[in-house]
Amino acid sequence: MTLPPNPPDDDRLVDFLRRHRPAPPPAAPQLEAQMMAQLTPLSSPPVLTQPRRWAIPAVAAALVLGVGGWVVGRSTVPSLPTASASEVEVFLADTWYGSAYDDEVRLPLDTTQPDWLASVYATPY
Amino acid sequence: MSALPMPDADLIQQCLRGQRSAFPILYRRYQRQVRGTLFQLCGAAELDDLVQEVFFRAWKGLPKFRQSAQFSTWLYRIAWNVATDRRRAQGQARSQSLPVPPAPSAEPSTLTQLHYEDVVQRGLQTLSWEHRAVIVLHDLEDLPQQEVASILHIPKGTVKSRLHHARSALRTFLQQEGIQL
Repeated sequence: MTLPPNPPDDDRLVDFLRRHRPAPPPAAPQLEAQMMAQLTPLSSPPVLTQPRRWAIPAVAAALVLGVGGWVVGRSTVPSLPTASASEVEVFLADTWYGSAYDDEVRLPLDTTQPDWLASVYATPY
Repeated sequence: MSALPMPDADLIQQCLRGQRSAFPILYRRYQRQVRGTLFQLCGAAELDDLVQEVFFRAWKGLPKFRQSAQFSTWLYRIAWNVATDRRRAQGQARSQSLPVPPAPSAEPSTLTQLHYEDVVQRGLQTLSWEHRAVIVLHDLEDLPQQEVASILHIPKGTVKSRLHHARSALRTFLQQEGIQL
């Protein structure tokens, strides 16, 4: 919003106000002396207190230890051995095979052969 | 040839180094403006106490004063806060009442002058607190609009707007009092 330009009598108004503004009553004679006597020593500019000064390196060290520990721990967590996957495979095949056939007709299963699954289907019920 | 007055920043540094003798120089340099502003905003009652409060707050706040700022602007800001706190403490109703009339200390030239002073004082009292502040700081204390904006923490455009409305209200009041400018 654009305000209209100052009316031409603004200067006259301001001049009137300045010429006729009431003057404040004079200060009490001892005001300055009393005030200066009551000034307490200035406190120093705010600085880091002792605990806070230690807090920064402590937090940094904690971060380094935390992140480092996480990285090291992550690399040493034992991963599932690849052998166990094949063992699970054999177990599943055995279970399924065993549920379909009697023990006497159950043939040993060699899952190392590429066509071991075909051999399963080739076995007569 | 008189020596140049020591800059505010140097006096403040002396205060911060523990030289209390520097603070009365700052006090004498600015007490007239602070006193005048508080008087126009709050009236004569407790004026000495209010002035003291402003300079006490300034003294205590010196360690946090940013050297990039102007000391006078900062001091006016403190005066404004002190006046506002006092107004709040007294409550809206009492703050709107007329202040205690000042003692005619400064040799009244004429009865007309006294009458005009009374009209100006009452005219200021008719304004809202915010409008009175911009009139006192800008028109009476002669501070630039930008500085008034900094003191009151308002945009410069708001200062202009308030100034416009406050002057308009004052003109109307003066006309009602039979004063033609």
